[in-house]
Amino acid sequence: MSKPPQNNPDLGSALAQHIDVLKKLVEGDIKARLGGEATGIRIVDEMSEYINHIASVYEDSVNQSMELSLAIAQFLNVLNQVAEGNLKVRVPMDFEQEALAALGKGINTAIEKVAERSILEELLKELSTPVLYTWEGVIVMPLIGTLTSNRAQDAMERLLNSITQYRAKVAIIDITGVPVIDSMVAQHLIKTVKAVKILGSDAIITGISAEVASILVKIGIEVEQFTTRNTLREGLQHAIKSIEGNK
Amino acid sequence: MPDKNTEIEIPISTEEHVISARGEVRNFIAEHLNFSPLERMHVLTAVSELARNIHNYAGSGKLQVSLANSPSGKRGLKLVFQDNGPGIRDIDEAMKERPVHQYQKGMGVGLSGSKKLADEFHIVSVLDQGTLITWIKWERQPS
Amino acid sequence: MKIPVPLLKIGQVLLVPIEIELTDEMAEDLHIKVLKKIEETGVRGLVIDVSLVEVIDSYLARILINIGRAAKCLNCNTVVVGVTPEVALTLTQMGLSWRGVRTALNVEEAIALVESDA
Repeated sequence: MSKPPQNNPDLGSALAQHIDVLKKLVEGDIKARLGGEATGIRIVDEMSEYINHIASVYEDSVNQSMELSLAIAQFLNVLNQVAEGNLKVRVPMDFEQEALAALGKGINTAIEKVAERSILEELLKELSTPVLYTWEGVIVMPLIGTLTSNRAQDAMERLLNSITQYRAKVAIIDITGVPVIDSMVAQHLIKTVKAVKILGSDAIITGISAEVASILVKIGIEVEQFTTRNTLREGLQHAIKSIEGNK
Repeated sequence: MPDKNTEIEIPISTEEHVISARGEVRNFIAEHLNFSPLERMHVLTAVSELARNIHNYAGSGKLQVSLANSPSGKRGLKLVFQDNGPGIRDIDEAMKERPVHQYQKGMGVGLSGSKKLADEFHIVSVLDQGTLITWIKWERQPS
Repeated sequence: MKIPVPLLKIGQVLLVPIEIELTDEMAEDLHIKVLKKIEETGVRGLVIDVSLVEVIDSYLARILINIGRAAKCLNCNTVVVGVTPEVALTLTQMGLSWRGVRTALNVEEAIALVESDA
């Protein structure tokens, strides 16, 4: 026999419990649930079921939301580091939500690809301006292609380091493969020649074309400082002769 | 009555004028003055320098060639180069040519060089109005 | 542009006689043409003959000096021939120097000079 709802003390306390749980949920306790005991009142028990169900869904939702915020923070952190040049970092990929795990994996793959490209570019830079070691005391640096100011400066620094490292007496800078030269690069060239002399070695420039010669003279470069030969071969012959001569 | 031929005016607006101006001045001094070969070379070189400056920097102008007479009775050649070009901002600066600039184009070398070839040299320049150069060389021996 | 200044190769020497007045454009062309010829032939000496040039002003001197300096970059030495005493004195009076470009009294001497440098 069921008593009418409004006069039932069990009903009252059950509702109080409902309100209590709902209040806790609102205040942030996402684990708040109603106890397992059925009251016997069908409508109350149904409500309990629904409240617990909704609370579960609510808890899942909040957890996912937190995971999403955490993921965004972590991804942003890593991406900022990559932008600064650190290509060794990776984002975490262990997330509950598949979509976030997939996004993490995607970001890491992209970073790896960028890292591979950078290594290749560095290698290419090294290859384009290699320093070749020939006879004792003679090093050769063939410059190829249109030089940017950065590449030129880079190459010249490496040349000077090589001279000291290998105690080279003659450095040959071959610009046969350089079709055109601008003012900045020409300045690097003359500075390098002067620096080589200060180091106590000689510099020979080979392969200057008529075009490049005219440009150098036009912009006022002190070409009097240059020792030149038309081909690399002639440059090497001259270098060897001068080294043999000084022995 | 003044001899009409003791003063000529030569326009300078094309590159050909720079070259022909020399010829006209050469004829003038041959006819009226007694200059040594070296002095003649000074004159023709100065004409070349200053006329070329007009052509290169002012676009066009003119050269007035006349006989100069000093109070002491000396006779000489007076060249007046005039143009309506942009003018020279700082004449002293322009005259001070540093060696490396000798390789590059510039009016200064010709300007300072011409001055050194003259007995008298005056230059007036007003920005946006033009430049006036007076160049005088006296005879060493009277004709 | 075809310029009327001939370039004559005599052994290891390129002889360039300047017989006419050079305009700006002609001077540019001469510079390019001479350097290209030096590059092509690999001559070690360049002799520029200015005996027929009446007046050498700073403009022409600059052209000759720049050709000489550019030729040096191509391992080619330059000698200018035919500078009269008046021209030499005038340029000196003006304060100009030849800046590394040698001069000689005649073509034979110029060729000998250039060959001894090689």
